[in-house]
Amino acid sequence: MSDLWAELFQVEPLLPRTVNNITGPLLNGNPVIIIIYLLVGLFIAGYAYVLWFKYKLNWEKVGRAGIMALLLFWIILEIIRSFSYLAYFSEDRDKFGGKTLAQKRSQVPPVGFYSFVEFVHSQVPRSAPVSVRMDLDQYSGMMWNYYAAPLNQTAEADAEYIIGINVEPIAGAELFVQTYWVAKR
Amino acid sequence: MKLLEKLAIGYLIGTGLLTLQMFLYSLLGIKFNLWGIILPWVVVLVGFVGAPFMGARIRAVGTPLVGVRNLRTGTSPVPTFLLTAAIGLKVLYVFYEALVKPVVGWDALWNFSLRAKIFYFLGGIPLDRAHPYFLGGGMKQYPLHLPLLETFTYILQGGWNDALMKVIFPLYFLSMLIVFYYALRREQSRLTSLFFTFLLSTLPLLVYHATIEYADFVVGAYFLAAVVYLYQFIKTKDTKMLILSAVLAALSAWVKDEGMVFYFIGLFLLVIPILSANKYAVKFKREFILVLYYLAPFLVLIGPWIIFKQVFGLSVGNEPTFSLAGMISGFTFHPETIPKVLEKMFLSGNWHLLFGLWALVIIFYYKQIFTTEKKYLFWSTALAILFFSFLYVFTYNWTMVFSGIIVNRNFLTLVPQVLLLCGLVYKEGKTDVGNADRAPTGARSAKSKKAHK
Repeated sequence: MSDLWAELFQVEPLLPRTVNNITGPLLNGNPVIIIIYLLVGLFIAGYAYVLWFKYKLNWEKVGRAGIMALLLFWIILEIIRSFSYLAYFSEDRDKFGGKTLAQKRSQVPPVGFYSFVEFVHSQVPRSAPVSVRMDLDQYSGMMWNYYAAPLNQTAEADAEYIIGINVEPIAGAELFVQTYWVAKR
Repeated sequence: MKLLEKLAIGYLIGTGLLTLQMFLYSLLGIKFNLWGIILPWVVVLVGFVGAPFMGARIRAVGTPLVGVRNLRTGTSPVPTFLLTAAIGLKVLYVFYEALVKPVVGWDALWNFSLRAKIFYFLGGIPLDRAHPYFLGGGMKQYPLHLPLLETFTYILQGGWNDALMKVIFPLYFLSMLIVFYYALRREQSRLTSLFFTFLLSTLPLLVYHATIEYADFVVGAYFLAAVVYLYQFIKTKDTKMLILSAVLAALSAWVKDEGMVFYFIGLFLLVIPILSANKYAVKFKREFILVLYYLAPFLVLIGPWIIFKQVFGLSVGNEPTFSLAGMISGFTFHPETIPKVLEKMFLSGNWHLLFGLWALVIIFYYKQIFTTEKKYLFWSTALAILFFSFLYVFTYNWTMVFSGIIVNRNFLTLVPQVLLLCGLVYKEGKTDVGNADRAPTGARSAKSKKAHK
């Protein structure tokens, strides 16, 4: 039973795919929403039956009662969700709160990437043609393009500077920048 | 219209016009600079609008909301306070989460914020095809509103601070809540309006998107406002509302390509009743002018962007190239996407119980919807869903339904309207129970009287 409660109130981690989908609370691996719809459906049917059998069936009244029940569950879902909000808030406060912009950028994975970008900007004039030797995952590649822009990136043969970086995962954790270098031709 | 609502609409329209101005500057070869951008607006505000606006504002503070009639007053301040506090907390959370960290979103890193950074450092939009950052890189065919607005925040800050830049997203969230609240408040009590605004502020995916750097919920804010004022026009026949709706709908096409479809949904909802109801040429002429009012903002605001895209051979949406012939030849049929979409609507954690509520409201309150102007709210949402469903079932987008990329982000653009309809149709318990109980008895007695006669 306590496992079910723990599952219900489990914080949903913020992942890259969260931008496309939020799973919501689960029970035995299934969305709680299924159970809620089932309960509301039963309630509506039962209430309609009682009204029809004992009083006078008024569909608007039945509908309103069903909606009230649904809204009650909505608020419960929001209370459950607020545990996730609290967790995100604490996590981001610890990670980013009270830090400088450069420190905040360094916290975004791959860890240490922004230090590399700052190093590149300190070594390479903005208009100089540069070429990069790196084997990055998709996210780190986008990160490089974003932070490097508007650096003049070109083919290695035409480059005045060559930049190298090695990004590796450490101990199954987030990606971590291991080594980097800038060379002038 | 209340001052707060004016400010919210002002943010939506103001940011839209500002980025159009920046686009125009780039076309004219004018480099971006703070005074160059804001000075024309200062002149316009002070010289032409300032004095009357201030006067109207002072008058507006004490005036009741248009259309508010027979609403229960004197509700307990405790629930009102609790709901306001709950909404306020969520707004604070959204501001905090957005501002505490720099840009992290995928689409922002390779598209929106990348382009913004380039525009800022280059002082304009690179329009030379040979330039390595032509149109800022990223998805060149995507509308420029969001990147240019981000650029403007950098210009305003005097530096590239991509954490502070993100203030624009919580401000859109706040504007959306305000527009939503006042749309309800014109017909509902304060408590009901606050309650449904609170529900809007709880939609998990909407809250998450308000803290990151994507365009989906931003276009949703424009679509919501456009539909709200179109509905207001249909109810009041106030032409100002129609123009407001047209401007907002047109600007939604400046945020994302879907906005173009939302604009035409508005046009469709405006034209169909005119074509079906009018028998007299005189009246038709008058209403034809109304359609022109609706068309004008689109032609003026979005026309240059469409021409620009044609000139530069830019595509639509995610396709690198777009043609009608290509689209027709690429038609597929994938009905298996429908259960997947329904699952996303009803069983995911993105919207809490929103679509269940919508279904109940349509089933139990269908008369209140389809015999009143509220049917336009229903159809604006239904047509948007039909449009997206068409993309899922008949085009290459079906693969993205199964990879989980597309559906929820598309639905972000329309969920506020779904809830708006529920909020407008919903009736508060006590007064309504009385009416509902009396109505059948009254009907019976009227019938029996007739029978007696």
